Amino acid sequence: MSNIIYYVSFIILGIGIYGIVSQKNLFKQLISLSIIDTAVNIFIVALGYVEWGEAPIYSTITPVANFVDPLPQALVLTAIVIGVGILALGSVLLVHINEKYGSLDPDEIRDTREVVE
Amino acid sequence: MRRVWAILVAGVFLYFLVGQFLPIIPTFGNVDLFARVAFDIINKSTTTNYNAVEFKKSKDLEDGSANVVTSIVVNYRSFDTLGEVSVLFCAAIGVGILASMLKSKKRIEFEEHKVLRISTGIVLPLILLFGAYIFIHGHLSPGGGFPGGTTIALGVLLLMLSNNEFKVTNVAKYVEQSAGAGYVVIGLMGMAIGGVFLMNFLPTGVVGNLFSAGVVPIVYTFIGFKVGAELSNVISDLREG
Amino acid sequence: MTDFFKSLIEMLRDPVGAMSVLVGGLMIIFALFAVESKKIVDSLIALSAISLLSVLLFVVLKAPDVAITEAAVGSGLATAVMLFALWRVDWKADSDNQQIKKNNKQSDEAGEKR
Repeated sequence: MSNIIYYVSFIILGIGIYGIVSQKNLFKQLISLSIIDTAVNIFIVALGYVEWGEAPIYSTITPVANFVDPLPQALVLTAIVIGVGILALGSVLLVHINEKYGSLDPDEIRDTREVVE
Repeated sequence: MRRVWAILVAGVFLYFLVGQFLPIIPTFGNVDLFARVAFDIINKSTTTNYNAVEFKKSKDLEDGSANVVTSIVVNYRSFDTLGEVSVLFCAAIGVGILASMLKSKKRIEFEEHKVLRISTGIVLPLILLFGAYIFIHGHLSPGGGFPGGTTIALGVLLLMLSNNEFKVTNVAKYVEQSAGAGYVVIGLMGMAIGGVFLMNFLPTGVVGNLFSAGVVPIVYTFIGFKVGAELSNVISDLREG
Repeated sequence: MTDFFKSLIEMLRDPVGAMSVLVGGLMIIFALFAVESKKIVDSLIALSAISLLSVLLFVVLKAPDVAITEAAVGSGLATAVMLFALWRVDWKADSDNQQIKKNNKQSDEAGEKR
């Protein structure tokens, strides 16, 4: 029962996968990808939590280091910043796709391409 | 039909995660840190046997930063951070090229509002100051170059929303290039002085002082300028088209 | 059944457990809304709300660095970037905005010509 945060992140990840498979709009699929990103970040940070641990910063209040694992936090710090780069590149690609085919539905795009070819 | 398939795929994924993956990871909160990281690094600040790290007292440590996450990101794994900054640079270049290739060249215009325009003049210096504070104090408090640079970019976004004539000029590109080059130059200086790329070659000082941790605040300042200029460019490219 | 409620109350006493139940439940609701809503602007706002709620979880999990980065990047900049892209896409379902309405009219005329 104490593993509840793992279940929360798994359920959000499942919702993201459901969104990617079920939605017919590429913009919605990009949003689902970002939801998966957030869920995985929560899971990785939760892997490093130690019970009654403190935030990994030396200060006068915490003279003895009883820290949580700082390595997953450093990795997630990298992942968040890369995530916004992916999001910006994906949105510009969507604008291009919409300009070329006039739609964001993968099925319609496929039909248009068959007609053109 | 599509939703049924989607629920099926997500359900299979959840079944494998909960049934197969959850039993092999430690339960929440019961991580044995000594099995994960070297004993020296974990136990640096206990009072017996090992060198105790005391705030504002101990000096000339291997890494002098009070924030352990910062010391991992910019000191121990600095090469990873250089790679991350290059990935962000590639993404910004991609956004710029793709946005300049768009056929419809219309610019996104906003309705000008007098209250927003005047209050932006008051608030914007404080936002930029806060961003600079975040990345200068990255080795003492939570924060660092990435959130500081993003805060500066958000200030630029506020300026864009309030003022239709505002454009991000080429100065942002020069700032970005010179900051990225400065990071590499610091790495090469470490190679020349200590023989290792991105080595911490400055004296580390007393833990908790502003001038401590050697090369870490300098690198984080470079990263802050670079990320701020880069993300401002991304927003500006998306707006101008 | 009583055992289940006992363990639930025991979990809610722990701050991490309580936060993960409350905030995690809200995050699941917002994620479902983001996936299933008709308008894309609504799902963008729900995405921003998910990021903000995850900041609370990061603070409880003793990761202040990650929390401040997520608050600046995830809920501020990512929403702005996707909103700008959405205005360029001229999405037809989001006809509330005056500017998008105008753009839709133009794209509809272009579609009739085609």
